[in-house]
Amino acid sequence: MIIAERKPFSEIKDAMAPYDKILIVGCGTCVTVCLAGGEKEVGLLAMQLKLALGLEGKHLEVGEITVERQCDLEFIQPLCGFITNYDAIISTACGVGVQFLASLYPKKPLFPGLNTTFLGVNEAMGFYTERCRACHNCYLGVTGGICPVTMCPKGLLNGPCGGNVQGKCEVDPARACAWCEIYEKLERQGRLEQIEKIQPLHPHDRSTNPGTVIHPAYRRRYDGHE
Amino acid sequence: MSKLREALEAGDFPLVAEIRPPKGVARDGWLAPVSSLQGKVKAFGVPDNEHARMRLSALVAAVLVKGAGGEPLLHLTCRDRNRLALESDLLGAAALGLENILVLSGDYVTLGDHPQAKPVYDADSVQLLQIARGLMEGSDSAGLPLEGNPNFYLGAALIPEAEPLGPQLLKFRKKVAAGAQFFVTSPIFDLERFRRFRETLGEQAVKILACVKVVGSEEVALAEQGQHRKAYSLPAAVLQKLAGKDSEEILLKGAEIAGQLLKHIRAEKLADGVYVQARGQSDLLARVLESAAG
Amino acid sequence: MEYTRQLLEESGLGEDRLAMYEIAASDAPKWVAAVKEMTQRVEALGPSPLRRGIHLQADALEKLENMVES
Repeated sequence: MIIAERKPFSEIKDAMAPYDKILIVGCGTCVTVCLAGGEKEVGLLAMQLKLALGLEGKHLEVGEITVERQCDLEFIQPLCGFITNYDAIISTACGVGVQFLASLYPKKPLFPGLNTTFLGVNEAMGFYTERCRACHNCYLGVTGGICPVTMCPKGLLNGPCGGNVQGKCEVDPARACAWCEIYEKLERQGRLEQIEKIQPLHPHDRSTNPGTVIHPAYRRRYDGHE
Repeated sequence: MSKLREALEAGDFPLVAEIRPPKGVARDGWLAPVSSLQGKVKAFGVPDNEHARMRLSALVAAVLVKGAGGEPLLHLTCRDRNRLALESDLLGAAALGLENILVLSGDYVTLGDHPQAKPVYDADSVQLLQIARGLMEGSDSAGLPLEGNPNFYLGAALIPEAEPLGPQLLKFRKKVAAGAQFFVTSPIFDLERFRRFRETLGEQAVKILACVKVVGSEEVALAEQGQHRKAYSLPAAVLQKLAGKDSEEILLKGAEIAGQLLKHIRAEKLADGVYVQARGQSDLLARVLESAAG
Repeated sequence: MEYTRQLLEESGLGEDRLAMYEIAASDAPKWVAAVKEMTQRVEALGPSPLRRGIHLQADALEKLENMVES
């Protein structure tokens, strides 16, 4: 899922200075799981804004609503009538949701409440780690299910750099060297020959952004779609 | 042809001294070893933003070394350039008469002095060796033909004390397959360990330059606190010799130790040559060589 | 708890207005100590800047002690 963190409060608060009536739109999917922008966090942010601006003698009216997913028209279109009543919107979705919401309401000032960080896993409550850089060219079959693009800070494709110390990464000694892990895993599985072959240069052209994927079954429908 | 290559292939046990391009454009000082060690070393290693710390362009520094009468061994890291820049720099180096290239991944940016910079690593060191080999054979990494092929003597890094060793040996094999003709090791302080590594490695067609380093007081202090995190170890025997000394004395004693290591490596034929790291200082480099001769 | 204190601090109300104590049901003295500590702290901090004009009664602490002793 997509992992995000809430922006520093002062940054959000400063952005709200010109407005009297704002709506905070939460997202009920990834950012709810990572405790950054779901219904509960929307409530906390609303409370904080009201308190902080109240201390400055200003009354801020804050509306709160959380939709299932902000990356899906189905869930954000119904906000249409509702949103017109507010001066500005804060979206606590990931950058994807913020942009989709913004494109739907071109006249409304919209602010992100989160910094989107990475695609990761929920290791334990409140503990999230990155697993995928969405590189368009998955190597996991070759590398024993450990991603060299993501788990190696340098994204090396042909083995470890010289910086690892006792299997720990040079960049963060608390972390295992991805290539030492890949090697160990494939060695245990008797599949080391898979990484003996030199991996060619990564096809970065595939991940030229912004990316578009059209499912083969829908090609005709979106023919000419850019 | 590269004198370094000639010497390595003739079994002459060449020495390479590392110089240190300045952070700035000062022309004097850092080039001093080139004249003072003329005739004593075969080539001068020119680091490329070493430790991810920004310095004068290694390519330009290497040309200045050449202008001062030395043969450069240009380092080229994957950290700061994409494949276009790597390839055009390689062609540029060849056009300026530079032949010795040491290909490296490059220390990660957050460990250096521009931690917010974008790390590149478009190619890794194995792929960069392949790219350089491709250029020598007349085509770039996109398969397009060149007008005039460069000629390189290609080197790569080798970590004898890597733990676990398996992944490092895998990378070594790939580097050899990709076209590496010589290797420079990480600094060697523990000869016994290096000896064992050479036994593991067995006979190799490629040449190996063992690195000896003049250790500084910061590193010694870290090692004494058990905080030394490097791809090489500082054995207790070495630390004992440096204990209780001030930073200047540590460097002098460190140079002596490096010289002794050099002497043993040469005597026992543990490597085909030696790469000396002595902060790019003429006096320290000279002291290493004196200690090795004594 | 720490997180909520942080939210209050960011909002400008101050983290000291919120605290959590672990007290066994039978541990009256500890409860008294906690209430005293919190009362003193709140008095020192003064009324919530958001709600002007309401103050603790001057004899609140004394009343509290009497209540527990009786």
